[in-house]
Amino acid sequence: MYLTALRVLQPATGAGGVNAFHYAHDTTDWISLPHDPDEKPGRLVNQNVQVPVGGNRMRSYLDLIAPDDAPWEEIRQGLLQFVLDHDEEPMPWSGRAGRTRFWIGMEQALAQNWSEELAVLWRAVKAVRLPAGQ
Amino acid sequence: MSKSALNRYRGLVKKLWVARTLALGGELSQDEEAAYAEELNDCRRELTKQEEEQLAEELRGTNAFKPHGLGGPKQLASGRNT
Repeated sequence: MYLTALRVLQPATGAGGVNAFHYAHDTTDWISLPHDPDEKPGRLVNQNVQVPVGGNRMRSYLDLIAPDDAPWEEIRQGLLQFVLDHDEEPMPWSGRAGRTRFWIGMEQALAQNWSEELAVLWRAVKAVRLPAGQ
Repeated sequence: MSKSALNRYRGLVKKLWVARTLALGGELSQDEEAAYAEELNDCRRELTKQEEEQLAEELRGTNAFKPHGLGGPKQLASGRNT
């Protein structure tokens, strides 16, 4: 599965919010999963859109790719480890923790309170994720 | 061995800090808090007296073991359909 949450800004109106999407890869074999979200996003199974897609400026993002049936707790522990592995580097961050690949990026203004912003994005991917098999 | 326990302790405190932040106002489960507490106590038992004092000094800081984060670009490149 590919889960993504993006904080976006609509330049014309100034409206902002977090859009989140869940794509399924229909496989539990993590070795065969794409190494890049853009490589093969998968099948869209759910979305929460606060700002209509199209023409927005991206301010922060959290992407993760994991097997469709990966337990949420496994992904959460992976995120904790991933953050600890990268927290002394400037963003963007990318890497793997266990069976999950993560990508995190924020513009400077948000990166100053990166942990709070990450928590918002994390909540968004958790909310958009549907159980495996859907 | 002792140096490893001190670094392990620092790592655990940092990890606990991140876990609580991700919980976004929610609390970690009692089981998880207890697991962290037990692991921290295990590490602490392995510390030498000097390391205990060093740790006590570090823990006095309000942002003790808070993960750093070194910023990001002024703007993100738009590489996808947003």
